[in-house]
Amino acid sequence: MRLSEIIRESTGAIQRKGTAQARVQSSEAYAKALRQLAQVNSRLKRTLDCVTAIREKGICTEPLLQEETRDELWESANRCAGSLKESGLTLDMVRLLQTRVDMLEEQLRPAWQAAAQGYAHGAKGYLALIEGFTQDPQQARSLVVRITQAVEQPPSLERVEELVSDVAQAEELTRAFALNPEIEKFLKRVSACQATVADLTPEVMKWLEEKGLSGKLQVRFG
Amino acid sequence: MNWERYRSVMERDAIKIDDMATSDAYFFATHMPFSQLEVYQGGRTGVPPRLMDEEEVFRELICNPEDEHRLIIVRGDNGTGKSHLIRYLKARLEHSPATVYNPEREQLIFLRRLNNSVRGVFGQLLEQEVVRDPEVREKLRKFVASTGSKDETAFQSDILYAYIAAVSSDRSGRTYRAKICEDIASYLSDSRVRERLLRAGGAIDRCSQIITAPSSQVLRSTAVFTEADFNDREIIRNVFRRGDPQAADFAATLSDDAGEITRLVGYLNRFTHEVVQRCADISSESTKSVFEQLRKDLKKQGKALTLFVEDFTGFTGIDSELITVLSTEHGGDYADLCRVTAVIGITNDYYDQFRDNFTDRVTHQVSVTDRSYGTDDFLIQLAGRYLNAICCAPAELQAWCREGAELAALPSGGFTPPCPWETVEVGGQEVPLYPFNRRALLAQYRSLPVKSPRMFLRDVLRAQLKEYFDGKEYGGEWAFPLNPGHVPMARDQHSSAIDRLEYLPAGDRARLKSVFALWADGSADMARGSEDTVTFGGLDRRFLEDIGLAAFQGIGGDTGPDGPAPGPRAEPSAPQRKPPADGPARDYQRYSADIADWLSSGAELRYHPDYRKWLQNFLCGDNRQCGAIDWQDAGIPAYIAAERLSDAGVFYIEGQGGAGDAGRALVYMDRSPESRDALQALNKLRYAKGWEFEGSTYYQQRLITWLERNRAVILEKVAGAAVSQDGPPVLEWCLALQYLRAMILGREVDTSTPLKTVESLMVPFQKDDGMKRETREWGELVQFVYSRGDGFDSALALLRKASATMVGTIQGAREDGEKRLYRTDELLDAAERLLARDWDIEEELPGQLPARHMLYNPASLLKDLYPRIRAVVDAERTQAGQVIQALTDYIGPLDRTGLIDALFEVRELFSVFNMYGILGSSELQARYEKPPEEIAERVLRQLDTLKRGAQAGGPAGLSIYSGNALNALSDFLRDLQHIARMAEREGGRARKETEGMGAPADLAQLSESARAGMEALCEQLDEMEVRHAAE
Amino acid sequence: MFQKNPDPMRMEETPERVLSACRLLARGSMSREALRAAMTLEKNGERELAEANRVIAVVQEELGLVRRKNDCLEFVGPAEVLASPAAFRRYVSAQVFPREDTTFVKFSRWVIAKNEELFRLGRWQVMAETCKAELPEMSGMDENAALGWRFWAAFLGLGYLSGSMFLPNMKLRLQDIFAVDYPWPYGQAVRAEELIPWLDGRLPEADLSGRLPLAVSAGLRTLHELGLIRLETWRDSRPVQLYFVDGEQIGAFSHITVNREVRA
Repeated sequence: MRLSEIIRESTGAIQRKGTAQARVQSSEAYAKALRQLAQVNSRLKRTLDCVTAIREKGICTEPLLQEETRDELWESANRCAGSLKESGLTLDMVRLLQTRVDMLEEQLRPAWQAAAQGYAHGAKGYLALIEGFTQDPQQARSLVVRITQAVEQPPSLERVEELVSDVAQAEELTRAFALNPEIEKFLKRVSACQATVADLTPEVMKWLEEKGLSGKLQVRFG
Repeated sequence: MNWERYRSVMERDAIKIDDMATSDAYFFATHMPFSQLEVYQGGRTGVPPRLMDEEEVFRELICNPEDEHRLIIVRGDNGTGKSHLIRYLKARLEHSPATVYNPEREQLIFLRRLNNSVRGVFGQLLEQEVVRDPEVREKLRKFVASTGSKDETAFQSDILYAYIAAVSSDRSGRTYRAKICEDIASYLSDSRVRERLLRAGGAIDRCSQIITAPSSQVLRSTAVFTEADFNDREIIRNVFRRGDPQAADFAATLSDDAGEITRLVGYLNRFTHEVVQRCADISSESTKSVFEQLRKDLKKQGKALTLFVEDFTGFTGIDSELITVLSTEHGGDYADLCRVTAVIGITNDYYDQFRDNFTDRVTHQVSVTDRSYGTDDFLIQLAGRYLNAICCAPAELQAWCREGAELAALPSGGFTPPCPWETVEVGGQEVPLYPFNRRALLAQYRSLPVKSPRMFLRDVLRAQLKEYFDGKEYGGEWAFPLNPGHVPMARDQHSSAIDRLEYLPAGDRARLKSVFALWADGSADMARGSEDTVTFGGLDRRFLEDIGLAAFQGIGGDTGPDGPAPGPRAEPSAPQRKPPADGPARDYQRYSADIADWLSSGAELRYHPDYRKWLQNFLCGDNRQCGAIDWQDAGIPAYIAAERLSDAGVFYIEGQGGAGDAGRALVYMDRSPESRDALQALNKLRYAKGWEFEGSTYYQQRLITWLERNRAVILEKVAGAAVSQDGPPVLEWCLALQYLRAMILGREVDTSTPLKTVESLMVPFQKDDGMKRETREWGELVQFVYSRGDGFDSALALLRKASATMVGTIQGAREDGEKRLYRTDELLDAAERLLARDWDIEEELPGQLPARHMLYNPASLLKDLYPRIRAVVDAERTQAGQVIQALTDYIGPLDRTGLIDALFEVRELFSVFNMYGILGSSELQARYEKPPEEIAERVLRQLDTLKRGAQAGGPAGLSIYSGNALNALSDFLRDLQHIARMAEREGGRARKETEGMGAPADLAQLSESARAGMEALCEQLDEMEVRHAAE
Repeated sequence: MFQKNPDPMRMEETPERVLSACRLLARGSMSREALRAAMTLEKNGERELAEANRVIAVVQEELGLVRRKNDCLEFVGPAEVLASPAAFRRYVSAQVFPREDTTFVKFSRWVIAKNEELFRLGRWQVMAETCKAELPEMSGMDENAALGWRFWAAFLGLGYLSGSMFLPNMKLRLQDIFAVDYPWPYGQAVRAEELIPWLDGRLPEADLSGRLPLAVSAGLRTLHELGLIRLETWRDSRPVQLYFVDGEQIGAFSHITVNREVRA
């Protein structure tokens, strides 16, 4: 065979291979985009479910999701959905949707913290005051910690459920703990570092004696 | 003149062979009075002797009026005249008046030298009635008779066994211990040793001679054993290896030390006395008793005894006993013994051996030395007397003897020479010395190996006179004069000139030279004297005529009226004794003699290596001076001459003997008078260290004539030419070799002009960088060139050196330094011829080539090379054809278009490779990045080269293929093949990979799932409670 | 080498080189530079060039074989002159010896006249100095000039070199003259009285007026020994005396026969 024929056959085969390769690569890129979309989709759904749960559990009294954010998300999701019909989904589209999901989560975080903080504050604060006086201080302490952590961390459906549960448990414990209003007032002023000598009423002194806490009291000039 | 009578008298009477006793008449006529005899009292020689003449010795020692006991020994070496003196004394006594010698009162016994073996002595004793006792007489008579008839072999065995017995019973320990004596006896008994001793002329034969030599012979020596009897190393080795243990032990001693043989010889000789006695069957007692009885008888008769023993040699065996009885002084206890005066002649050697016997018994010693006879006057006198005696009529001489042999009354021989001649005074008359003269006699005496009166008489007078008489008697081919001592003429250019006289026969030329050397002044100078006498070398021309040399006309001719006379002619004088020679003079003389002998007697040249070196130097010069042939100007390159003549083995002289091959000689010197003169010229030149010496013009003439006679042949041989033809075209061959080597190794040679060709071929090549060749044959040819590298290098050296001009001595041409001017015309001629023939001169190479010949080695190498070149060219051509066919198969027609298209395709392939990230070959790619037009042009040039190569054969083809276009084109083909393979491989791979390619399997499912999920999401979003922006 | 006296007569312009240069030019005219380049094979060292120049000078100016044409040197001599060293030698002899005013001829004459006294001088330096002392016109003579002279003297056949001495023997020179220019029939005896005057005209370097000098005598004797000529003394004729050499048979000759073989 002539060299030129050999070469031509060879180059033809190589080019054909190139084309086939391109095609395959394109399919794989599409599959990748689909997988990624599924992940993003799953994540967004969870986030939305969490938002809904926060509202429904009463942690936050107002909607957390902003309208603009919801619209953007909807627009992006819709585009992705639309491109699927002609198999035109691209990774860029998916990334855009992903970005908007990230933004949603960014927005949610502070809102959640604020809401969760408010939700758990009373119970957590009082429990923190009396944790040592309860029947199971360990349990009280860990509960306070859990509540604190839940507030500080990003929201999720599980976390919302936990918070609600822990706050209920904290309220349960504080309810069970009976306190003289004078003593309660003194403890609050102590926890806020505002208690003075004037607050050391005989009642308070007596309670302190009973609990063995007199020795732990320190007096300082402010 | 009665030449026949003269000769007969000489041989029969005057000068006898082997000293046959001369008659009294001739004895007295030729007797030379002894003078300067050394006489010692007693047997020792410590005290200086008294010098006496014969008359004094006679008066004081022989005449013995006081009746004293005398034991006189006369000593001297052989031939000095001892027996002559004794004979004279005896004759003198016999002829003395009664007051001196009275036969009535004096018994005179003379035991002659002749017949002096033991048997002979006893025979003489019986003859002269010395033996009185009848019993003893009978016993001796029987001995004398029996030894004459005894079986010789048995007798000799008896002698040997007598020695063995004597040795084995030696217990004295004086020389050897007893054990060694037994070993010696065993050694002597060994069959091999015995055979050696019993050989003719061996020890036992000599001993047998002592005892039983015939009466006509004279016994000369009593030494029985000599070193020659024991120094056969093979016998010693054989006895050592195979003899009995005792013999082998002694053989070991002999083989270790040569001195042991001498010791053994001396030891055994001491037993001779005893052995002779035993084998001669005489006892010491018999000898002693014979003489004792004699003395007693004489005493009774009132007589005294005077005993003359001419030669004591034959008394071996009885010598000590005889000495004992003779030395016993009469009177006293020995009053019954008569007075004895004994005069005994012995040789010095004999005396030294048995000195102990004599020292205390001898009363006087008379020593005859060359003082007595060695003078010039003595010899001349002696010659004169003999010449006169020869010429006298025998009857006259006999009568003169009878009448008292008075010198003054000596008859004259009456010989008249043909011209005035030298004479010598003998007994008051002038006796001519003719045909001798003083100079001839003395010169011949001095050239005798043994200088004694006997030798003088025998080898000078007698030998020469015989030839002279024969010549005179018979004419014809003269031999007179002889020159056994090869005395040369003093004026050796005259000797050479005589050799060139072609009108004379060779024999006469030799005789003339002998005459001028011995009789004349050593030259052949001609002179005219008064009365038109002509002399040559001082010799009267008539002498030459007398001895058959009348044809000689002299040499050289007259000096003529105009020119300078030749050098002053030396007066003829007696040849002087030469002063002792120093080293160079000795060398000169030995060379001279060697060269003379080489021509005159056909002897081998002993010192031929030196002569050949001289010739070499003369013709070729040395490192500083030129030779006599101007080689380079005569058309033979200096280098070729110097190299070809560098080995002295190419100089050959006829008769040089030893190793040497006349056939390979470049300079051949025949054995001729001219060559002899040429060598003598060089000898004289060497000795005189220049050309200033006597006769130099003559010798130059001879040397140059030799040179010119041989010049043409020498030049031809050195040039390697056949007769009258030009030498081989060496430069052409060497150029061809250098060019072909260049082509084989792929070197470029600029052949644009002949001069450029020469210049580029005259330099050595750089180291080869291993150019790759396509054919096995070419690789083998390269190996051939390397294996014969020495031959090629030699040819290049020959080319450079032989084409270089040389100023001065040719020896400089052999050095490796840079040369300055070349014989470029010859180089260009050679280059043009080679270019015209495309470097193919195979058919012009000679058919037969001498082996290992400096000038023909290049041709031999060419002969080996050309067939290989042809084979290589054929192989290249075949291979080229295959490559071109393969390329055509790949590319189609190998034209510009086809090549460019193909190359573009190649580029396209690489481009596709790059595009698709296929590695391929970066090297190939780089190579074919060049513009296809450029590559195509190159390929087309290579194709063109190969096409031209296909039309050419031999060296022309080699030149074409040398540039390695075939390799380049083959590389191109290989590249294309490689490219094709790559293309096929990658194409196949691409096809395979393409087949295996497909979309991900779950794509549809994923797509569906994603779609559903997005729908749900959108719904969820729609339903989400949101916070509006105003809030 | 053959210039009018004084001429330094250097060694480098040897017969071999001069002949080679002539042969180069006979192949085709060339410039001086080209000739030099050819002679030296383009080695352009100082010494090479100097030596080549001297050779060219001899060729061009002293032997009449070459002339300058435009910028080139052209060979104008008879071609047969270059056929062999012998032919070249004969040509050069015919050119050179008649020029008696050259140092070469003058020194040759002096050497030949010295006869055997030459050998006493022993060395070239002594020879040169002696000549210088004896001949005022040869004041430029020195050892180098003598050394240069010797190659041409030997080549042209005035004698032979041996060690540091020159052996006068004009065998080759005489043979050349007999071969080239001999007016009598070969093989015929000619009277010496006729020959000598004729020879005298052709040997300006030798004085043939009285007894023949050693060089000429030796040459004649050698030719006679080789059978190329025959020297005889006839009765009732006046012989010419040869230089006396003790031992040489021929002391004079009255007739000479030159054989045809001298032409070989």
